[in-house]
Amino acid sequence: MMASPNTRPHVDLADVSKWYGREPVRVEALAGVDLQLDAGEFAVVLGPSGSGKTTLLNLMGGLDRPSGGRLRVAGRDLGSLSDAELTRYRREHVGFVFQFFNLVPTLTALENVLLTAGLVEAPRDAERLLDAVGLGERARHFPGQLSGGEQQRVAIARALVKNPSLILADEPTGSLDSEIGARVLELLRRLARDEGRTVVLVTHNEALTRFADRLLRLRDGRVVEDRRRPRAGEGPARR
Amino acid sequence: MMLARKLLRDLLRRPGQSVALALVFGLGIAAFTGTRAAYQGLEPATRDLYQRLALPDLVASVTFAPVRVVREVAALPGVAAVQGRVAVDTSSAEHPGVTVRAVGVPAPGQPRVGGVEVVRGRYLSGEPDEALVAEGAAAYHGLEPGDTLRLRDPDGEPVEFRVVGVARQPEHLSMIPPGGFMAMPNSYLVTLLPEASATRLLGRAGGVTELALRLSPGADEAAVTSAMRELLGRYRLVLTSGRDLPSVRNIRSHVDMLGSAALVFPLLFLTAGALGGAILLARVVRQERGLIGLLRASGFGRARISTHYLGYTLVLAAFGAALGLPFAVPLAAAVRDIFTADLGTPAQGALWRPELALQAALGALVAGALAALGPAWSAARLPPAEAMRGERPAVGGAFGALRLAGTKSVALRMVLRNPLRRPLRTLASLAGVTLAAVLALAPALFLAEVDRVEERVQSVRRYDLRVVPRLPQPEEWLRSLARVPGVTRVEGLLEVPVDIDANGETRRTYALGLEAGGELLDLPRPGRGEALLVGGAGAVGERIRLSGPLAAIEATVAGEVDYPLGRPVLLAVEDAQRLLQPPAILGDAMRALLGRALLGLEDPVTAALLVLEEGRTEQVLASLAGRGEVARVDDRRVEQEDLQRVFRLSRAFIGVMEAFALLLGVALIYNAVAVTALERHRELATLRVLGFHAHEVGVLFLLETVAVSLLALLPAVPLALWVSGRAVADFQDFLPAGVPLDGPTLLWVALGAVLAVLLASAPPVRELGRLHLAEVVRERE
Repeated sequence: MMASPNTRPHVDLADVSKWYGREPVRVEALAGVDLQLDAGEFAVVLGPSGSGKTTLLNLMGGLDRPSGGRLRVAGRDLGSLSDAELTRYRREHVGFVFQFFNLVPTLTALENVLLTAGLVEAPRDAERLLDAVGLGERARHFPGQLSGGEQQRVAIARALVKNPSLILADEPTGSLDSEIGARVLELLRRLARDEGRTVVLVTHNEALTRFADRLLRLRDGRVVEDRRRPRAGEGPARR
Repeated sequence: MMLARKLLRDLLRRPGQSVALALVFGLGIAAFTGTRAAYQGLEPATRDLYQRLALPDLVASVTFAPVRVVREVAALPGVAAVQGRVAVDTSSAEHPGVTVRAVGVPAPGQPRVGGVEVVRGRYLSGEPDEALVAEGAAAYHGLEPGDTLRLRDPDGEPVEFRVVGVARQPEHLSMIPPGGFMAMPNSYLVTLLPEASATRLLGRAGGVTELALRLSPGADEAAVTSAMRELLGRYRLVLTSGRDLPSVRNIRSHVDMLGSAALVFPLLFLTAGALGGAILLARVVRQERGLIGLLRASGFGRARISTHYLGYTLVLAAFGAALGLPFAVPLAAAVRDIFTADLGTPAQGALWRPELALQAALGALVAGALAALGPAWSAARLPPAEAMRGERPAVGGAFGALRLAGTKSVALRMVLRNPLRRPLRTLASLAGVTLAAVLALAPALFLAEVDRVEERVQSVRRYDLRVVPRLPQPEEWLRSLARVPGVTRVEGLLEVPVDIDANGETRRTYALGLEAGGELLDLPRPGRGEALLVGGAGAVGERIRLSGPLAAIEATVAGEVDYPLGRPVLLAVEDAQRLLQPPAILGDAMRALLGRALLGLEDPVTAALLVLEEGRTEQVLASLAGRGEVARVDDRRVEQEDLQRVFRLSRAFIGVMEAFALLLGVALIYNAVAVTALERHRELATLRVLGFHAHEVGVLFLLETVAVSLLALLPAVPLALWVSGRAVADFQDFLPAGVPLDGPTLLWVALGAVLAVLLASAPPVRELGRLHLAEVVRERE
């Protein structure tokens, strides 16, 4: 399923800023970011350490609140939500993929996926998802018995089982070798395209830009580059 | 130096855990230093007093024997000294319902056996109206030198005495009435009178009722006993060895129990501290693998590394010593005061004993070092390169074995498998919580049984007064009591001292002869030739032999009886009377003649149970006080007060134990939970990020801890039963059924364990709620 170009942006940041601490030691992590992401878009956020890319991810994931500006995801203003509402937002709309997988070690691959499936009313079929990520045979293995690539695929299945509209991936290939990392990214890109999910991936790694529909480069809390990469059959980049 | 600074800062970074563990060590140190000091003061003080005042090796009680028997007994081989005396039970006009035992002593001059030590006032000068009051009862009855005591003579007339002193006699430190087994200072009072005055109260001159003996060193007690039986058998002799005198036995049981408690409880706390320290240190070492690798790579030797980690628990133990030692003296004083006030034991020696403080601190340091051995050793053995790579994730782990196919809930699977993630830590936590549960459960079970006994005492005794005559009385006596104004019902009772031969053992107790239609003791009535025993003393159907003062009979064990306070054998009154009849070989005529000659009657009773009209107690007591044949009157209400005093003390003591147990449990669980929460904070934060609410994560976490804590109750139950069984082994008279398992108590302790979990888990769970999710989920495990 592809996103329609006429619909409202799925993720909409207007002049969003985030700072920590107070004057005179206030640290500005994000400074007036404007950004719109459509459903089905695969965005890669690049930038050096301290550029604000993880802060951006945290804000979109409802793990933190903006200090200024407006941040809307799927039509809801995240800045105005309470802690419990943010939890509900994460539960219903967001799938996370972490650099170190963050699987529960005492649960098998399938159980890790089922654990998250239990959070929503109409989850996807966990076993089919594990099949889809190529782990049908390894579903009854514990994380300690899986390779890094396999664990990350379990983490992706765990993110997808809730049927989230937004998938946030923080250095998802940071712990993987390049070949396995490429397979994981291909999987994420396919999800974005085929299922119309917005995927935001944060990384240091320039090589990953080849998977992106959209490339965002951050420096000192500002978006310094926002480039659409043409998909097959689409026109040139906007900016 | 830098490592020492790091060590201190590491502990300060975990203030909750550091204080909790130091507190556990501190409790052990305070318990040892305090209770041991009290024990070391009490035990030798009691022993010295027995030695100084010549506690009798044997006491012979007779109905009445001529004075010459004193010389005859003194001449027996093995007898070093004899003191003949008159001991008579009477009552006091000032203290209705209180039995006063008046014991004659030489005045002036000390008894040869069973000496007297004046605590306040002075010794008897020889004036006939002087009296000493036993220290163990003086405070309860407000008697001090200068007070007056009016005691009844055989005609019921009051004889006035001046209290000139408060004194101790070794066999009368605890106020335990004859045949009793617990101190009853409210209802029993011992007074020492000039010999002639005691004889006057007895109403019969020229004889003695007790002989107190000291044996020569190396004397054969059995031979002396046998010779005494031969010599005094015709006077209804009851022989009691010095160590079995009620007061001596009572004090010994309690002092021994204190001695055991002074070792067991500190050990329990130090073990718990060691377990907690091991858990904490294992976590620190795991967390600092990278640092350990770096230190080793930088040239730090294994000894330096292991010493560094050893230091953690040593510092905690030392901190515990600083926390616990200030409480040692107040604890020692409190324990000593309970013993001196309740048991009448003398107290001496310092409450603060530096050598004990040193031993306790050393014990804590050894426990701390033992706790650190494993983690410190594993830290020292870590290869630097491997350590710096971080810990490899568990492959399956012990939890892999738990497939839990039947468990649908994934969250529940998590709860069930997590304890197996760090099996050693779980075992250490389990052991610690088990210790705390034993500490809570053992006294709670004891208390439950005490409560049950108290209720049973209430339900068994349906009378108001129990009247004990100086000598066995005929049935006519019961009819005369029934005619006393205010008395509505009278029943007779026959109590006869017996030796029971059962299961190949001989046990000294008494036979309780019950009338077939009697109702004032709510007990089952055995048939003729049958015996009912208390607390599994014999098998049903077994033939037992009962040896009384004049005769022996055989009876068949018909069953067990739930009798509170004591372990008598219940017989039909006719069988009990046979124990007082001369041997059949003499023929009926001769037996009847001898029976009358020795006892003055054929069908005697030794006590009467009375039911009174409402509000007539004082009047009836006054009437009974005027009857010469009445030795004492036990007022059920006053006895009840004594019982309740004993039970109150038990409850207070057990309350303190329960508080210690809760504290110990909370400290250990808190330590384990805090370590687990720290170790798993990324996993728990991930659950929050995935969409679990904070309270859902908290509940999951709590369920794990509750599960482990309840699991700890499984070994705690048999252990607690064993511990409490050992603790009451010397109190079989008081708790003949031992300490059985009590369902509601178990439930309460389980609820207490859950409460401890909630209290202990609250701070770590609250911390989980404050985690900076975005930061934590990015951490590498």
